[in-house]
Amino acid sequence: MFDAAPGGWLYHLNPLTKLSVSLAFILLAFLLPSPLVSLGLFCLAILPLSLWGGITLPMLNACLRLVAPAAGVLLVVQGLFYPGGQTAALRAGPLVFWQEGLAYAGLISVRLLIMVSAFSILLATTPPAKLAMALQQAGLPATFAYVLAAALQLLPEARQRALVILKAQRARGLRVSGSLLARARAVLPLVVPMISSTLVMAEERAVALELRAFRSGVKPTTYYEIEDAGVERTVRWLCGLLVLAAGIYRLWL
Amino acid sequence: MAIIEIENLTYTYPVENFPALHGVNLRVEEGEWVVVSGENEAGKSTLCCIIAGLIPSVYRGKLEGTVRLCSLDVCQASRKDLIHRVGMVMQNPFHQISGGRFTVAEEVAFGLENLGVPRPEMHWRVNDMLAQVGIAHLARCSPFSLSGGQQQLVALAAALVMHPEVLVLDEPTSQLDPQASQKVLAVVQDLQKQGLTVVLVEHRLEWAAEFASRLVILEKGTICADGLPAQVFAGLAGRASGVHFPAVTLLGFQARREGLWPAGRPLPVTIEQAVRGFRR
Amino acid sequence: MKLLNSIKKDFNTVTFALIPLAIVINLAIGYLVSVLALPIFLDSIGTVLVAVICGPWAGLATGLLSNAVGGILLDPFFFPFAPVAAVIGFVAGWLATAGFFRSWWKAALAGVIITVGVVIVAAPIRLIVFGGITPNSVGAITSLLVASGQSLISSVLTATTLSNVVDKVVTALVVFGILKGFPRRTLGRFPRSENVI
Repeated sequence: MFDAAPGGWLYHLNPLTKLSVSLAFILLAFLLPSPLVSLGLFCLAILPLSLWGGITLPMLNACLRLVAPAAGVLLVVQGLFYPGGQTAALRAGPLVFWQEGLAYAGLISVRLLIMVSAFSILLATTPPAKLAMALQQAGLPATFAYVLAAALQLLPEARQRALVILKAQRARGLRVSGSLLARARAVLPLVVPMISSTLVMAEERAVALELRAFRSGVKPTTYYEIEDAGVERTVRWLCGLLVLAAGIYRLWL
Repeated sequence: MAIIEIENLTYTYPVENFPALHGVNLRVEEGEWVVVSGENEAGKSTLCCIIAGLIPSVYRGKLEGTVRLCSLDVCQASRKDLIHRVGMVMQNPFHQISGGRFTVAEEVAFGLENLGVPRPEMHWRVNDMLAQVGIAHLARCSPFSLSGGQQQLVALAAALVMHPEVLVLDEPTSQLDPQASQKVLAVVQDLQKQGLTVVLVEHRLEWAAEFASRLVILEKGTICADGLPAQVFAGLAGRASGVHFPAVTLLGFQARREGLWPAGRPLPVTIEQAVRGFRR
Repeated sequence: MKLLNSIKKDFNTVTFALIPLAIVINLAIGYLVSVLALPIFLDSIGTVLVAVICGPWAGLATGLLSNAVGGILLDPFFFPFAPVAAVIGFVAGWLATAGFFRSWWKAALAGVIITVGVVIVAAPIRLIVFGGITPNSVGAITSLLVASGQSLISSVLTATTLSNVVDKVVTALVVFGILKGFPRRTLGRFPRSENVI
């Protein structure tokens, strides 16, 4: 979603710290079912963090692109058809928007806002490579860290290639806006060779991995080390405690 | 002492009925440069996998006879013992990139990481190897941003950084342009002079024969010729073996037929040999 | 213990080499299909492929990691649906072990059974995280059903089933078709090749 645009000091943090903070925000928003709490989180924590890191614009852009349409549909559908609707908030001809439905839609929308914005803080300031490395350093088995890193690295290229092929097909007369059948027919010739070549490639790459001692039974070392300051570890513990507290509070009530 | 000893080898891939190699005997001494050639499907790549120690631990299947690499029996040695003794570079540069590393330096270090080599040692070994292969300036690039030739040099560095005693090259230059091929081979030649044993599979013998101290020809899964390149060419001359002779050798062959090249003189393999031969 | 060993056997080096490529297939084809505005997703072909030739646990891992990668590189809405992708992989692998990928009509049936798994896991996620209305075609169908007077829960269930059943049947058939004619030497290297040979 983002290019790894340097986000000031946030860029230099251990990705795990950013991941913990993001997850904590999201879990808090879901554990404390009040739109005010979520809005507070957004305005008092996420927004200042993004300003401080210099990534407010890409973050708001992502929210606008992903959350706004969802919120729009939610407000209309839940506002009109909320089952417990009793108080009319707005009448437009024969249509009645119920206050309860709008409130519910608002709650969900704010949560989605938290979800997208909190992850944006992590993703806009972390190159995927660093995230995979940090996870391995934190104990993710090297094999799965490899899978994650390889997929993260191969996807952008594969998407590019898919678009190039699509363009070539278009040049040969495929109309992307053509009938459903025409478009469906265009997919198969793209998909089948892609999958067949993948099986062959996996087989060859497995040999290359074997030759380089992949899964040799030794605990692998890493070429680079990701810094992990003591403060960051404290922050991660605090995030955990905060979520735990919210969970207990939720169960109590 | 022989570093590769293959005796009476017959090997069949899993789920297949016919052996890919049968009755193969091959001894390679330390420091030799052996070129293996033959038609497609003659068993060249299978022989590579055998010498690289991938059979039977990676490719299962049925193996009869004995294969000893650096005095280790491949049926008993663990992968870990074989990995840092034998390195291999394959045909397709792109498929050999692990894909899980984001810079050339890390890509080259991947094998060392997996063997648990400590970080400081890893750093100097990788830097050393990048310099030796001539790609030190690419250390921080993404392996995916490189040309095929550069990727193949990365694959070569990744194999050599493990400090193998034997290097197997399975048509390493077939997808490269002539300049990149030259570069890859120059690096290998350098190391071979320092004592590395090299097994190169190649069907274009035009230049491979120049380097070879020995030429082995495979046909339908068995070795049909083995010796000095000139001898092998002389033996094969005139029959269909699927081997692409170097142009100079063909020239010598034709010259011999027309009485311009004495029957007793070995056929030329390099241009210099041809020139010397014609001068005499 | 027996289970652990069989899982270990499924995760060999070829499996680990295939999973990242399968993830890329999921996300790249999913993207292509969305560019072409087709009414299906086709974003789990890779997951089903791994599940069939490497077993249910490898399928599960592919699904989970697919959505993790999608969440990281494309948009965060991939994350909450990770359990759905995992279930697709697991159920497909389990069906393959039971012989469902040996003939085309059984493969089609497998697609239907996978859909049942999807509906069971996806519906609660849609309801809890998105209040029932996801910002995509499923959400649009749900909205229409709600507007026609159905309850939210039944609308979500119906919409999820409708939008998935064709997709999963096509996915299973595509995977079946590709594996059917595939060279045995290559297939033999994958841990559960006996599921299709």
